[in-house]
Amino acid sequence: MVAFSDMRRSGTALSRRGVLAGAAGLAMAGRARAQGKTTLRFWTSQGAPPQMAAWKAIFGRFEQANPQSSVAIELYSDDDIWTKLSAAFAAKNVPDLISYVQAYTVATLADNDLLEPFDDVINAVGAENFYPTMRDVYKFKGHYIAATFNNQTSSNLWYRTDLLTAAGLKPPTTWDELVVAAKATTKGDIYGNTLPFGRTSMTSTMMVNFVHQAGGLIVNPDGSVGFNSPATVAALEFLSEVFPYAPPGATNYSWGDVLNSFVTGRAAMAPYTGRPIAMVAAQNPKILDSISVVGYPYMKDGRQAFDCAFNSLFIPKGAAHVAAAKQLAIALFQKDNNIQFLNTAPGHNLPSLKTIGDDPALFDNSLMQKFRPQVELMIRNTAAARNLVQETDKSPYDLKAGDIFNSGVLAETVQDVVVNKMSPKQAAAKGADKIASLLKA
Amino acid sequence: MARGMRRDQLTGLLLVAPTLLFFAVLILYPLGQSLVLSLHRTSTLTLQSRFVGLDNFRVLLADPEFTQAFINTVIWTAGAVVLQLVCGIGMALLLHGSLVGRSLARGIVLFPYLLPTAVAVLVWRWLFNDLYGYLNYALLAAGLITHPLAWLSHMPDAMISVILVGAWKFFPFVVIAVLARLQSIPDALYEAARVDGASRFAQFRDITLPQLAGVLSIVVLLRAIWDFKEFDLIYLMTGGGPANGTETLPILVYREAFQMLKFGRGAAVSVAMLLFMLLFFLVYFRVNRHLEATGR
Repeated sequence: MVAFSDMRRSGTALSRRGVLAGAAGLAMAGRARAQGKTTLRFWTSQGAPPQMAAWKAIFGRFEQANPQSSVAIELYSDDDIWTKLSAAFAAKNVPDLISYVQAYTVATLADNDLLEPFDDVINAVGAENFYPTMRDVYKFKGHYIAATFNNQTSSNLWYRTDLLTAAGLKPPTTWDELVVAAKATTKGDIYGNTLPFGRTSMTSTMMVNFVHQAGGLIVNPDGSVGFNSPATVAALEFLSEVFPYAPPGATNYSWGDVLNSFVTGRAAMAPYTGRPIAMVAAQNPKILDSISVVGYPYMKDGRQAFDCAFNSLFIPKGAAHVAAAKQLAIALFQKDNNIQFLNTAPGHNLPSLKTIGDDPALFDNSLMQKFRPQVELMIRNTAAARNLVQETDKSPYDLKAGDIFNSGVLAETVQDVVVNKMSPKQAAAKGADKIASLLKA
Repeated sequence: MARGMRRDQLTGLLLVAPTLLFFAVLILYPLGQSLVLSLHRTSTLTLQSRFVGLDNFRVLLADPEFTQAFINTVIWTAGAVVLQLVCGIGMALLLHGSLVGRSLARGIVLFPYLLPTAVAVLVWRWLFNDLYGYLNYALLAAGLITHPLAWLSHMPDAMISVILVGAWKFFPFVVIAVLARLQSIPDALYEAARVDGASRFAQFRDITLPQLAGVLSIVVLLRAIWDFKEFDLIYLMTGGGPANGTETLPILVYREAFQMLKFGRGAAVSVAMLLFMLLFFLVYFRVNRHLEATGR
């Protein structure tokens, strides 16, 4: 090994050979220092300053408790997750632990046998401590393949208490009441009700829930397509009816647009997770005392239903340090770590563990205290939520859920009705045909 | 003598070898790989594949989404190129004439071309925003509209908006090329025309345009090829929506390969695009040869 001290100077300048030898020496010295220490590569989509600060604090504690390990954070965005995952698997260079990927994506990975078993983590954290749907959504062929790290549902209706009161209305509980409230609150530059009508993931997410709320299913428990049903037609008719009270650009709306329209006060009602709490407090505090939330209204004679993401934590097959990654995953569920991360987005990140949901420390935050009843309601809704991966108790684990969701067919069906003015019956039949071809493929 | 010739040939081959190697690695291999992939059913995730012959192409040709994407691509390309030409030639003529602050203006006009697409799209999306966009604000303030317009959410407005932004982003390329040519047209031609009493329009029609013909044909071909495969600007502006109103072939490639994880199907769309672009290349070669022959 050559160190800098061995490098000879030729005149006033370093010789080329000396510089090269020095660089090689530095590289080898660095390698020697790194020997015996494991660097865990952790992927997350949560890279905003509050989240990064929390990750760093949590991983700092982990590194102190596990001096042989260090954690390197690598960010991805929801839009490029497939591109990054595909490249990582192709290069056989996958990270050790991946967080925040939705259940649909995990289903596709499971379908391709690209996940390490996760039973050790679930058992170490305590299987009984998870809310059952959040635990079982990742049970596949008798094994856990991932864990719900935290969760949120967008099947809530955020509303302006002042605007509804002025219209003499109570928060809507059914679709019919929602249409009435939307019409009554559409005044001046305020739109009564925002919904996503774009060819986006939020539209697909909401459509799954609307079909469930009307008593239908996308895929039946026997594996046949359930989409071409009176429930889907009813959902599409409702969307068609409420569409005129949405902002004009709603046919391109996704998560950010829906949230902004409500936070800025331009929409009287909007579906969302608990994100508006922190956003309104930061960006439009004058309406902070005039917002509240209920479970999203459902079809009269239908059923209450909630859809959520089940933000996952899993180890991809081929990870270099599986045992250490499991230790890191377990650490992320420890009370202090878990609550610290949840409260980076108060009310938005909701717990997957019952003990955390019941812990007063979760509400040790001024916004969480102010909106405690609303947050507790959202925790209950989230705990009762499902999604396309497992639509009912009787449904098997749907490995094609990712294909259906990513194909955009659900959002396309909505767009067929509101943009292309197709009849709901025709649109439901067309969507069902496409889903059938996806299931067949 | 023969030995010397062989040595010369060998030297020539050695000199050409690096170019050939780069050509093979950077162009032939990816091209061949795309062709091979298009004949397979391949998962983007696992890269496991099965030979399916022309199945991917058969499915594409029967898919109305592919037809719609092709039509959208043609509309976008034609609209964007025509608008770039009109704006580019107009601006080049303006900058060629005597103008206060001409040097500064020549620099500023390049600005859209230098701006990263993601930044440009952010700015335009903000301007087009249905609730807070400046365009709606200005139109409302002027009393021209009573409700905000959804520029990117209805057809054909979305396609028109995307074409406008595309033209704004890329017209400086036309300006640069045309301005360079304008500066090399001999003044004597215009002087002779003026002596003969030609009007300014006649000078433009009979001198400027014919002199620009060579550079314009190259510009049109290059911009048509580049716009035909434009992805980021359209994807970031509309994501291909509303419905699939602005979904072009490159967006379809992305959807098939990275959202549906069907690499083979994505490669088949790429190969179809390549075939369409081959037409552009053929025209390009013909025009280029003609220009070389006529010395323009």
